Amino acid sequence: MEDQELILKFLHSDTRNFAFNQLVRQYQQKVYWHIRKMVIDHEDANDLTQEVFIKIWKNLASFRQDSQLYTWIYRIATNECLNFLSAKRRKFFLPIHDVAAELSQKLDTSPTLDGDEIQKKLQKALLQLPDKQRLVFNMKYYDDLKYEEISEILGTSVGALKASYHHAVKKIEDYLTHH
Amino acid sequence: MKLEDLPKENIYQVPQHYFDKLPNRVMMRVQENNLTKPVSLWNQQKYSYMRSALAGLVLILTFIFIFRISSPSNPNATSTDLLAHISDKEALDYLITSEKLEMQDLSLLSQAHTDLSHEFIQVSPDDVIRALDEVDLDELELN
Repeated sequence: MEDQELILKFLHSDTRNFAFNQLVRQYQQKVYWHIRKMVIDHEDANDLTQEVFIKIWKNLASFRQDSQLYTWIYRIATNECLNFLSAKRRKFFLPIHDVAAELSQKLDTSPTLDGDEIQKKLQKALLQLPDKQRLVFNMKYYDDLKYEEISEILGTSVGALKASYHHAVKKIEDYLTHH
Repeated sequence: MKLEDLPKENIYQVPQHYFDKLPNRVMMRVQENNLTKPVSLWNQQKYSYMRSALAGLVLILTFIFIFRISSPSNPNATSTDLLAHISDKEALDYLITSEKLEMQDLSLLSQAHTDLSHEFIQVSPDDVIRALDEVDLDELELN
């Protein structure tokens, strides 16, 4: 079902539940993986994914459609991730590297993780990046989003995003080479 | 090492059937949220302001009502005019129940309705005459 049709059906009380169920099915994987790559832990990702969809339910009726639905959904998911990570730091008074160390430890111990050593090493390299730079990298590298789309999601200029991605790649390659 | 040399892989996994169950979980939470939707801070404040405004309005209306029923319909009416609207029976009832009943009131009353005295003086005429005989009339101050 097209996004426009989904929204129209959502606006009618008779078809609201059906439309929203379709929306969840359509976007659940994108939202979940976007979050999971940022918070690493499945339980955290599960909680945040549900929160994202509840926010979508509450706000979809007032969605102005001046942006595409999936960029709007990505923006909600991104904000949830950033809020979660900053709350985690505030809670434990941790500087960025301690949160990275905690998430890195989860990479070593999580039962819901697969992949060889080099892939785990890549994930650990990503954890060394600042949250926003990691988001940019994930959306460009894994989700294959265009810079214009990422710009719409993060509210950052395309030029700044290109520079950010370029620096991220450089830092990751350095990490992979020296660790 | 170059990033482009690495294959793009998703190393994270989810529990079995996770994405089959997630839509129902979300729908359940949405329903719960609808049923037990908390009143937002703004709504709490809004209702608080409305309650205060309503209480104030009720208070003002009460004052207006009390003022109107306690005010005479004609503010220029004299006390004599007002008394003219009160029946003798009502005036008598007031005087009987009033603790400030004075001798003068009784004398005026007896001039108007001499036969009413038995209604508030529960004694026989003989008792009254006997009581009057015992009073030294010279000591009475008649205004």
